[in-house]
Amino acid sequence: MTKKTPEELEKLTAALKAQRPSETARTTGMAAAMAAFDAEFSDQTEKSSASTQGSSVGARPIGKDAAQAPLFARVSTAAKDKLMTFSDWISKPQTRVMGGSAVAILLAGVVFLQTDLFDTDNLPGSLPPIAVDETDDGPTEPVVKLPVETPEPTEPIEIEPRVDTPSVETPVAPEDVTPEPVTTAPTLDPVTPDPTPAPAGLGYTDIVVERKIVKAPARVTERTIPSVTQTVEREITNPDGTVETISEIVVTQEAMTELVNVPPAYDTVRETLRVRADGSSEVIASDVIASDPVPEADTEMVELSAPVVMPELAPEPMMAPEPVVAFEPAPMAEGIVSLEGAVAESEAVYYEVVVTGTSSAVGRGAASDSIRATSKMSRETVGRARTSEYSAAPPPVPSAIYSEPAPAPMAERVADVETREVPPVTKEVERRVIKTPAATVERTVPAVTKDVVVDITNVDGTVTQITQTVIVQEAFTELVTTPPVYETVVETVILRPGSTEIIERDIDGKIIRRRPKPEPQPVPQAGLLTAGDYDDVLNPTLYKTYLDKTLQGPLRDRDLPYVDANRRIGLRIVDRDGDPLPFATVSLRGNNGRLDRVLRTGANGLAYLYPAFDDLEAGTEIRITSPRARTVRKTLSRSEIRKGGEIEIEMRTNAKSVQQLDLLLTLDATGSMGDEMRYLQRELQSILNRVEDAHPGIDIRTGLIVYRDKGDDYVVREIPFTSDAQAFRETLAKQRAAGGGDTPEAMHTAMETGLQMDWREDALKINLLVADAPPHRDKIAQTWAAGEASRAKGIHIVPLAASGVDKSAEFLMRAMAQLTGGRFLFLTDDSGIGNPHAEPSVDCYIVTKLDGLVTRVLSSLIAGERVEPRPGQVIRSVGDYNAGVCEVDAPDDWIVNTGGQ
Amino acid sequence: MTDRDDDEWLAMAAAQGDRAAFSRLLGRHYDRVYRITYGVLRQTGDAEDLTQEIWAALPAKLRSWHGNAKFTSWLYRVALNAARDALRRRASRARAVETYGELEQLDRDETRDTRARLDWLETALATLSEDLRATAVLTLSEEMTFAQAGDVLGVAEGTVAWRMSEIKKHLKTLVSAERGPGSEALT
Repeated sequence: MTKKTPEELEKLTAALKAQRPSETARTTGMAAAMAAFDAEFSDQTEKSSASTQGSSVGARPIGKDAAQAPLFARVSTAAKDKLMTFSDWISKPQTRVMGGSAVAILLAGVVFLQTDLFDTDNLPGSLPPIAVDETDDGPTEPVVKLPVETPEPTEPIEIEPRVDTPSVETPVAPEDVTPEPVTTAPTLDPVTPDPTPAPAGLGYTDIVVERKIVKAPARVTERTIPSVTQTVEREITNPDGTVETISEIVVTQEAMTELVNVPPAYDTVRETLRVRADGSSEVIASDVIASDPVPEADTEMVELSAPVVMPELAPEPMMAPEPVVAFEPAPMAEGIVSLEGAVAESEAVYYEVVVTGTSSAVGRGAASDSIRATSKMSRETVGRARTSEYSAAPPPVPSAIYSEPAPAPMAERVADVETREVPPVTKEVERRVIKTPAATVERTVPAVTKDVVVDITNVDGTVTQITQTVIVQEAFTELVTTPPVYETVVETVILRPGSTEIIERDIDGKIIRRRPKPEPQPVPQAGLLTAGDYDDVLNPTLYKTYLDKTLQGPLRDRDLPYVDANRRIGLRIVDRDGDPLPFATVSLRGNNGRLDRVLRTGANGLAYLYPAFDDLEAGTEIRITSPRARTVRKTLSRSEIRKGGEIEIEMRTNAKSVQQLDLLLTLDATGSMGDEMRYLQRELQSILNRVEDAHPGIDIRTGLIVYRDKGDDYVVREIPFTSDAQAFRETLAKQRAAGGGDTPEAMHTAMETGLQMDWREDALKINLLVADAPPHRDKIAQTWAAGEASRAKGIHIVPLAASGVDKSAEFLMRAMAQLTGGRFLFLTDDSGIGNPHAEPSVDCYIVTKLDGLVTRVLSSLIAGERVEPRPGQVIRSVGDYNAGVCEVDAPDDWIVNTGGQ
Repeated sequence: MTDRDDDEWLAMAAAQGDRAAFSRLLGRHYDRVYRITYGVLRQTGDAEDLTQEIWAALPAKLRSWHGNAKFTSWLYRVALNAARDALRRRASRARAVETYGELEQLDRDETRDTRARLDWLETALATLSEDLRATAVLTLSEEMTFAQAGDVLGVAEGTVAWRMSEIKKHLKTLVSAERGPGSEALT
């Protein structure tokens, strides 16, 4: 049974679809309809234009259903909006409140309205929208007259007011609004509208409204105000008592980002608004009569430049917590502030001009300074004075407590030593700090609306009002930024910490020297210092680039020796098994038969020949000797010299690995090394332990050369090679850094002394040169000669550049490492120990702990093959480092220079 | 006037005085309006009269045609409102004249005899309330979707669906009655 239901639905559907009116009824009905149409549009010519306009594309309905059955319209305005004008907004950049011009020009158009027959916008369930026949509940017959029977063509269907239409017996006047129209109608008098119903009325009223629509929405842009920096010269006292002046760049005002509100741009449009009888309305014509320029953020705001001091012009008395006039001057000469235009927007009579300069120093031992000056001046003064001068005390430079220690003559004798406590030098510094950061709040500026009351007179003389709400200006959202709230805090800055001063006097009581008493320092631990290495031997091409750049650049006026690594020839001496043969002697003899060079192979069996440096020429004879092998001779051909690369030479012997190690530490012990000396001592002791542990079968001897400079307590101290590791460590621990004074030290003497050490013939020889300063300029050649002699003796020079090594020292150290098959090491700042370390002029390196690095370097030299750190040992990596080889693109100038050689 | 033939365009043209456009709409949709009015009024004569009235009033009504709705939906709404209005007036008339109902019933009985083919439909529609009838007409004979019918009726789509289930229920009762005791005699 239930399954039959769909069939019944189908039956119902079919039955309904089959329903048709009788043919007679249809013919009559259709004829009546056409007659009604003809009657309706009998005045088509004068009304069709309006209809066409009403259906124009882009019609935009505004407003909702309103009253019923209007016949005449009268327009008036309601509501007075109190708003800032848009131009006001523009002229007050700091104002974040958006206003709008409440301009609503309403041009009343009064037209005849045809009573609407059907209210199709009503929902079906609502009151009967059409009334086709009767006026009340009486059982009267429908009074529908077919058009064909209707005598009046203007009323095709005679319809009386429908039953449920609200009574509109009397005109309803607006209670709070003068019913007068605000403006005059261009064609009709709105006050006295034509009461005669126009034939087949238009069914609407056109009114003209001027309103603002958003052309470009409000937006927020971000602007960065750059930081303000100042170069400040300060004095710092070195641990050795020397005072030096350094320049520091301090940030007096940090960079900040601010949000800039850009208000919306409006188009003012004049719209013709068609209000229909059913209360609906639409825009049938729209003309832009005015258009705001799209505001640019940067042009709306006072340009904030980078001030050194920031004046605030505040009206008196101080009413507002924030500066009333935000004024930041253009970049200026120091202390001179232009007030031009600063008070143009203020009406105050007197101003207090507050000039504050705040500097917050950064960096090591930084100091902060604040300057502040106030002045009261009248408006006239401010307005008249194009520039007013404010002088603020410059940041006080602490006077030097320690005089420059003049190099004490050796003849002078200290008769008295006095100790004096030096209190710390502090300073109260006012700083402006942000108490509450700038905040941004989103705020909605509501739309500006106007109620337009349209009075429409019905056929029976009653008046119905339609209230149209017109959006005069659209709502928008803006971001309101409140500036940060600053507070001034006073900080105590220690310009110089308290210390104990040692004053040395001679017999006459004359002060020979004043120096700070060294602070007791904790015993440092090993494994703290960090270092990187750079193997110029592995990167001869890049070394060549470095040479060119350095010798043509910062060191061009120095007569620096160097090794041209271009077309380097690596002589690889191997035994009959192909194993590298260490300590073979390679002698170069030129065509003239003169002995030019002698060098030694390392543990890797390699001896490097540098064609330019070694004066190689076609026919140069290479003689290779080894204690237990027949001498091998080889004559270099032109192509071998031109080509470079490796040449393998076999010797009929059995190579023995390295059995002995002579390790010489050459230490710069001048004052500039003081910051690291104690750490280095610990590290070197640790290194020795580790090397011994790593190579238990090797006979290790250690020697020490400590050098200072001429005029110091000693120039060179030599501790001969010893196998007594404990005694060596104790000796090493006794060394103290002091003396020096000028930068160059007696490196040449140390190097020459090192050559005189009793190096063992069959030992791997390493000279670990720890220094931060080059030799004196007139001793460079001597130092270099010691380097060359080291090469001949087979001593690998492994330089370790300590704190702040200068460029010429780096150059020489690298040259000696290149020449002797060593490796250039350098301390880095990663440890935080000591003064800042110079960034080396190398292309790639990795940073590891110093003890590990030195141990690896020594082990590499001992084993004849490179030992790389484990990944976990790498603290930092610079460049493309691949087992000591830098993978970099050769610079353009390198190509040119190689051709030149 | 134009090559375009869709209802909306014709209505737009008619609203601006295009006689041919109105004529085409008339021929196309006259019976449609009749079906609506009949579905609500359940009387052919009333439906025919009301259909005439509606179409005669339509030229003026077209003045307020906005072109922002489907023409047929708009037309259905107009017809439905008019039919409901007429139904309400008829009910008030029936209350006013007591005997009128009896006369009408007599007339109805006579009509039933003479127009046997409408028996079932009239019986079926009689079991349905006004709302259900309007819904049935729109969804069944006019083949509107529930959403479209809901739009015309001013009710939610779900309400239309519910009404359709109610229609099915009522028709089922009707079928049961037909096939119940004595149903054999009818066939």
